[in-house]
Amino acid sequence: MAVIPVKLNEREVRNLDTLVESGIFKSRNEAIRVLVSEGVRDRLQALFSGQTEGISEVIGFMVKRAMREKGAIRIISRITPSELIAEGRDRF
Amino acid sequence: MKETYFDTNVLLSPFHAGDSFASESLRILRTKKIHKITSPVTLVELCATISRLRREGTLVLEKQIEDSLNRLGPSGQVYALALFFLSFGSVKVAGMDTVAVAPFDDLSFVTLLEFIEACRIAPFTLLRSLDNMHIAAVKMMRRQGRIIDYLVTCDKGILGRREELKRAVDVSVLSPAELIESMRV
Repeated sequence: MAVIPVKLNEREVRNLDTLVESGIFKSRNEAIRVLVSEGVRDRLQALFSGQTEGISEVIGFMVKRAMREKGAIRIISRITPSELIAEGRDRF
Repeated sequence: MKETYFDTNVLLSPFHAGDSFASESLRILRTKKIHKITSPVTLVELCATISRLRREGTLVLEKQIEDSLNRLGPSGQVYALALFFLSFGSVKVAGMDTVAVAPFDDLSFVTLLEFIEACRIAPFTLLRSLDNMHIAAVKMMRRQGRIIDYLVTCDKGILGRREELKRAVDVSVLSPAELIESMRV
C-alpha cells in the first residue's frame, strides 16, 4: 500500500469527522480510502461509458448475423490477418 | 479448469478466405469444448488492426451491420468490432491488474507485472515485443493459478520457434490445426 499525503481544508475535515462520528466510517483513514476508491471507480466508469454506450446491442447483432450469414463480415485485405498482425508487431 | 490462450490472429483468421488456418480457426472458435482466454494485449491489437482495415476499406460488413455501427463514434465502432471478434469465439479477456515496482533506484517505476515479465523473457525468446507480451501474459496468468495448457497462434514466426519457447519459458505453442488434433475438437 502506498502512503499519499493529501491536503484538506477545514470544512472537508469537518465533513469527514461528521461521517466518522455518525458511524458510517470507523476512522478518517477508512473514510478517505473508501471515498477515494468509489470516486476513482465512478470516474473511470464515466470515462469508459462515453465510448461504450450502445455497444452491447451492436455486438449482439453482429454475432447473430455472422453466425447466420457466412459473409456478413469479411476481411479482403491483400495480406492475411496473421500477416497484418505480424506486420504491426514488426513495428514495435 | 484447463484453458487455452488465444493469440489475436486466430480470432481474425476465419474471416479471411485466404488465411491458411481459416477453417481450423473457425472450428475452434465455434467449439464449446475449449475454455478460451486471452489478454488485454489482444484487445489492443484487435483495435489497431481493425482501424487499419477500416481505413483501407478491406473489412467488409453487410449493410445492416454498417448501419448499426454508424450509431457509434469512431472509437465505439472499433471497440464494438473488437468485442465482436472476441464474442464470436467465446474468448474471454482475463484482466491483468497486478502492478509491481521496478526497483531501479532513481529509475524506479510502477508498471503491470506483465511488462516486467516480458522484459525478463526477452533474451530467452528473442521474439518481438508484442509476442513477448502474449507469452508474459500466459506466464502471469499461470502464476495467478490458471491452468493454461497451450498458446494457440497462426503466427509462423512463433510457431517456428516453439521448441525454444517450450525449453526457455515453458509455454507450449500450437497452430489451430494442431490444437484440433491435440484436443480432439
